[in-house]
Order: sequence, then C-alpha cells, then structure tokens
Amino acid sequence: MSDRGTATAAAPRVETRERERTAPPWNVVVHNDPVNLMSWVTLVFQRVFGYAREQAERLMMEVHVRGRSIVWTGEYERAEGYVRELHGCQLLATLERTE
Amino acid sequence: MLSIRTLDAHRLELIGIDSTIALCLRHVPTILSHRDAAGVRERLYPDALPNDPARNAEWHRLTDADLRHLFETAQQTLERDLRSLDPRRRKLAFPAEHLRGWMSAVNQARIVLSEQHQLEASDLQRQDFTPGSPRDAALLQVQVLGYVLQVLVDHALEGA
Repeated sequence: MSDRGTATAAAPRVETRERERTAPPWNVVVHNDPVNLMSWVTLVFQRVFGYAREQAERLMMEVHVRGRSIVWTGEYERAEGYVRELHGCQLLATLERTE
Repeated sequence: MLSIRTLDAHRLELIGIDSTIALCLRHVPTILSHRDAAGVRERLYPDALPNDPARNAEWHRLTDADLRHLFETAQQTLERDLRSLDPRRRKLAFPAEHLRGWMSAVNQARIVLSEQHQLEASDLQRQDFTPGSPRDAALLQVQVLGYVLQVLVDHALEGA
C-alpha cells in the first residue's frame, strides 16, 4: 500500500519535470571561440542544419561579431541532437530555453 | 603550396605536403593524447546546460562516451592514412570518406594546443615567434594545422 501511495505521489512530479524539460521551444546557441576557423563553422552549420551557404555564413558572422548566435529553435529532443552534433565538431554550443 | 584534388569518385589527394606540414600532421596523435589534460577536457566536452548543474551532469553522463568515440575514430582515421605518407613525394591519397575524420582530428589538435597553452585570439594574429618558447612552438603548430584545415574545409565547402 505504501509503495502504491509513493508511486501515485511521485508520478505527477516526474511528469511535470519531464514536461518542463521537453516543452518547446529551446534555442541552440553557438558561442564564439578564438580557435575555430570561420570557414569550419560555416561548413558545420551547413552540414548539421542543412542551411544554405549564405545563411550559414550569416550565422557564423553573428557568432564571430556578437559572441553568440541562436542557430536553431524548436523542440528539446531535436535541439539536444543538434548540440551533440555541434560538440562533435568542437563548437561551443549550449541549450537555452526561450523566455 | 598545399592543395587538394579529387582523384576519382572515392579518393582525394593532398598535394604539396612539405616537411613542416608532414611533421605537424604526424604530431597530431601525440597532441591528442592530451585530450584529458586539465582545461582541455572541459573544452572538448563542454557543458550543454551551464545554468543547470543537475541536467548538465546528466548530459555528460549520456553523451561524453559517444563524443570520445567520435574523437578517437577521427584520430585513428588520420593516423592510418598518414602511414602511407612519404615526405619525399610530398603528396598523399586517402579515401574521400575520410575527409570528415581528417578535419575533426586536425581541429581537435588545434583546440588541444590552444587550451594547453592558453592561446588567445590576439596570439593567432601574431607573426613574431620567440625561439625556444614552448608556447610559441604550439602557436606555430596551431597556425600550420589551421592552414591544412583551411585547405580541407575549402574542398568540403565546394561540395557542400
């Protein structure tokens, strides 16, 4: 009985946390660093997001000039996948929930 | 001058590999043996959710092993291909599908050296190197590997 009661009490909290964790939208943010070549960052944006050269270069320049750029916004699971790919290409990328 | 050309549908050839470039490329595996050095690890395995320590810890638990595998695979690809490098011929053919691994390994090496020697953006613009300075020797390697990476990336961008 106590087990059942615990499970009943815990479930909504877990559910709420999960909903909060996954609720869209999330931003994928790329941060500037002194080492990555501008052309490399452009190539990564094209390959990871499928962006056209012009869009990839515009975002790369935003990272370079402003120090960061929101390069994609959407649901958590996809954002998470993109950040993994960006880390795999040695870019500094983070996940931020939109306000 | 270093350049790259497509040999056929499956192979690329890097041409103009002088002794400095050959030395720097052959040094990449040694550089990458410092992936877990202080400061370097944090850069190669960055936080995805810096303001949320609990989720961040979960992130690292779930992703770091895959990331390490990715980095090591790229290094192994480069190492294997470099075994065929004969500096006297100044050129090297390798499978086109290895290009991504090459770019990753070379970029990792630049990042490892930069973190180990705390290189800043201003350092990367410098042309004045001090003989005997380990930091400047690292900076020179970062520059040479950057030149190699630029050639590889330009080729990839042509086909992107």
